[in-house]
Amino acid sequence: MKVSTLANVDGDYVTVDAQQNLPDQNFQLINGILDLTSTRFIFIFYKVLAIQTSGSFDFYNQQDISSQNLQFRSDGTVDLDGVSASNLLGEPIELLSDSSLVIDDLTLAIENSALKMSADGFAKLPNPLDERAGFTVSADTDGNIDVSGPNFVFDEG
Amino acid sequence: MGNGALEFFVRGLELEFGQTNSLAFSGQLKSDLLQNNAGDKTPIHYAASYSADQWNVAIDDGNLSSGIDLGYAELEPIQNGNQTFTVTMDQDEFAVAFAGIISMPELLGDGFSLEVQQ
Repeated sequence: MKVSTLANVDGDYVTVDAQQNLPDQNFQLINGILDLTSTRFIFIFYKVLAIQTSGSFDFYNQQDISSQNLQFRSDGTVDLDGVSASNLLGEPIELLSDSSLVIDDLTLAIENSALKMSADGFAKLPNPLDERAGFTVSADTDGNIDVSGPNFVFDEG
Repeated sequence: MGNGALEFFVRGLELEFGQTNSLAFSGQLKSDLLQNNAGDKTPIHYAASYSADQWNVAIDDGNLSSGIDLGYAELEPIQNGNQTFTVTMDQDEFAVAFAGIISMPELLGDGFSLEVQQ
C-alpha cells in the first residue's frame, strides 16, 4: 500500500496491490451458511477499501451458485454489481424438487454492525392442497436464524 | 480529487545555521482512506531532516502497533525486512509505502485476511 502526494493512473492517492498469484480462496460467511470459493482482489472505491470476490457460493448445500463482483467495503456496505443489498441470486434456487421450496431472493447487508443474510422464498404444497406461501429466513454472523412464514391459509369449506 | 488524498501536518520545525546548516521538522500524515467509521483519521507520525544535501525521513509507528481502524476493515502494517515503512521524498513526490494484512472480521469473519504489498 502506498500513500502519495502524486495521484496514480486512476487518480487515486492511495495505491493498493494485493499479493499476486493466489489460488482460489474458500471462506465462510454467516456462520457457514454461505460458503464462498472465490478469486478476489482489493481496491479503493471512493475513499473506502473494497474486497471484491467473484466465484461461486454454496447456500445450504446448493452448489455452484455463481457470484460475480460481490464487494465487501470498509464502510460496511455490501455491493453486487454496483447495487447495495441486491439479490445475490441470478435465478431462483430450488431447495426441494417440484418447486416445493424455493429461494428467489438472497441479500447480504450490515445490521447492528454485523453482516446479516436475508432470504425470501416460497413453499408450495402439492395437490390437492395446492397452496403457496412466502417465507423469510434471516441469519447473522453468530448463527442466529430467524424464520417467518410460510403461513398457509386454507379454506374451511 | 482522487481517493486517499494525503494531508501533511507540520508540528515542529528546527533550523540550524552555522558551519553545518540543517533543517528538521516533524508532524503527521493523514489520509482520508485511513479513517474509521467516525471519520477519525489515523495519523502516521514522521520526523524529517535535511542535511548533507539529502532528506532523511523516519516514521514512528508506535501508534500503529494495534493496527489501523478503517471502519469495517482493519489494516495491520507488517515489517518488510527490518522496517515497516518505506518513505520516498524528492522534488516530485512524497510517499509512504508499507505492506500489511487487511481483515474484515465483522463482515468476513476472523478467518479471512488479505496481504497487501508495498
